[in-house]
Amino acid sequence: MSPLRESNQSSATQAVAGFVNVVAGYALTEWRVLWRERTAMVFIFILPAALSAILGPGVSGLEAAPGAMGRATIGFAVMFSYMVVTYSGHAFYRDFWYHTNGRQALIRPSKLAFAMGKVLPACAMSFVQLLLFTGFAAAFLGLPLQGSFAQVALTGAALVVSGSALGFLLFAVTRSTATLSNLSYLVLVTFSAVGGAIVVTDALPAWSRTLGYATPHYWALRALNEATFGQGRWSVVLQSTAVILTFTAVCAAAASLAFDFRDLKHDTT
Amino acid sequence: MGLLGANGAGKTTLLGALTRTVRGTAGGSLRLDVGALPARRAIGYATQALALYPMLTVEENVGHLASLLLRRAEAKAAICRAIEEFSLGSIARTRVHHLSGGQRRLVHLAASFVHGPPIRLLDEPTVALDFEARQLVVKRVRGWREEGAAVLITAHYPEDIEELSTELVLLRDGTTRDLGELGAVLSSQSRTLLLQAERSASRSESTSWELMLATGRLDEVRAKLGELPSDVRLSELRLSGNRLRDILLRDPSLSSFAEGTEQR
Repeated sequence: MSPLRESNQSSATQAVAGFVNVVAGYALTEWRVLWRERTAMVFIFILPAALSAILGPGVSGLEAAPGAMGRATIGFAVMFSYMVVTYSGHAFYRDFWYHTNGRQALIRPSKLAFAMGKVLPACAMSFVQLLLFTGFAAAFLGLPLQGSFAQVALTGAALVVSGSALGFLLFAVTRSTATLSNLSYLVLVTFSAVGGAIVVTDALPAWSRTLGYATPHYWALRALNEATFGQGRWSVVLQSTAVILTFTAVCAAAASLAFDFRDLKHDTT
Repeated sequence: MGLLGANGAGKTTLLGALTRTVRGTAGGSLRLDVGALPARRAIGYATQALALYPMLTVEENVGHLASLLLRRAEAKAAICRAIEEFSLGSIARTRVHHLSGGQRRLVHLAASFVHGPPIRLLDEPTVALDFEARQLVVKRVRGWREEGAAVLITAHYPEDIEELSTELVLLRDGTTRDLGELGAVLSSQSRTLLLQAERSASRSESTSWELMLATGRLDEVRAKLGELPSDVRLSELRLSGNRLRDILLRDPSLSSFAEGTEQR
């Protein structure tokens, strides 16, 4: 191997190691904060479980349908997995609460590594929540699994990543945590409503159904329904996942353009 | 280098501009020669506001920046060194929200410079510190200077600059005035003689007079007192009618210099 090629390989390895270092560094700190604050756990795990138990299939209008409780559970899991928008946004705002934003501005890590590290813990929690709820519904609530668990996992991963990208975008374009929180709750409720996570899409008015096509929730539920009640066709799952990932890419690109490490927020005191 | 200025003079803004952590509207560029070191590792900046995650321990806070900038083995050694430098060993596993303001300030300094940067900027580093902690910071800053690091410090209080710096820059209304070596600034200042007397009639009031003397030891001042011509405000002193209470001789200090420049 020529010395030049060897040197190029070595610097590429160093760059990758540096990237991984930054992702891991931010992710570890975020994970510690989330774990010790506990509130994220309540919203992501306990609230959807409680709502599923309290409201059950009644809210979905599915009382008589087979596996209705399981389907309602998935709906609530999809809905509350989008709390990842709020928690991803908070992960970025945290640096302004604790004045550590200056340090990011000073060392200026790669935007991608920084964003990935920041959202990774919230993403992972939401993903685990989706898998747990689906698994629980399949095991105990009569939810059929016509496809594979891999289809559920792929759809869940795409959904939470789209939520994180949206959280990053909302952080980049807002100036305070209060604004971010309000917008993310608005997103949570409206996307869930028109996307069919609260009431099944067939029961929605036509205009709501049309709006629903623009939400990741609709596509996630389409894929999840295919994996559970449907025929488990990969084409449907992959098509739905591709739409969700396109939504993710658009949000991430817009966030990256809008975000600057030197930005100041009203939360900075 | 010490950067001295009143509230709102622009000290923090200047540090922000130097570190490119704030957006600038105008100005030039700054070239720093830090050898082969990447820029992100060359500068450390301890902001005036404490930059700490309250839910994390001292060790985790100090380790955060190290984990982003250094390799794992390097980071581990750097964290130990920073904790030892600021005598934080006994509270290393304590969460920051349990600590006092002074302790947090020390953790903040340790976390800001954990990567051992050759250029260190400190914005009001002694705020909220008790005497002992302040002495520790003074010792650390002098140690960094001796190790070859370039240190820039801002302060409201001249005493901090006097103890921590060798050169002085004065900042007022966003404009800097390079005053050169601190020793030269101080030696250009006069010694001040302070006489305090009590009125004979009612001893409740006291009056003081300040006379500026270019040079001299205390005995010379005494000698000069006797030789002072009658028109040098001694008419106001009226020592004959009052009781001389105290004579104070003040060495030149940055405080008196700063007071003088403020008045001017």
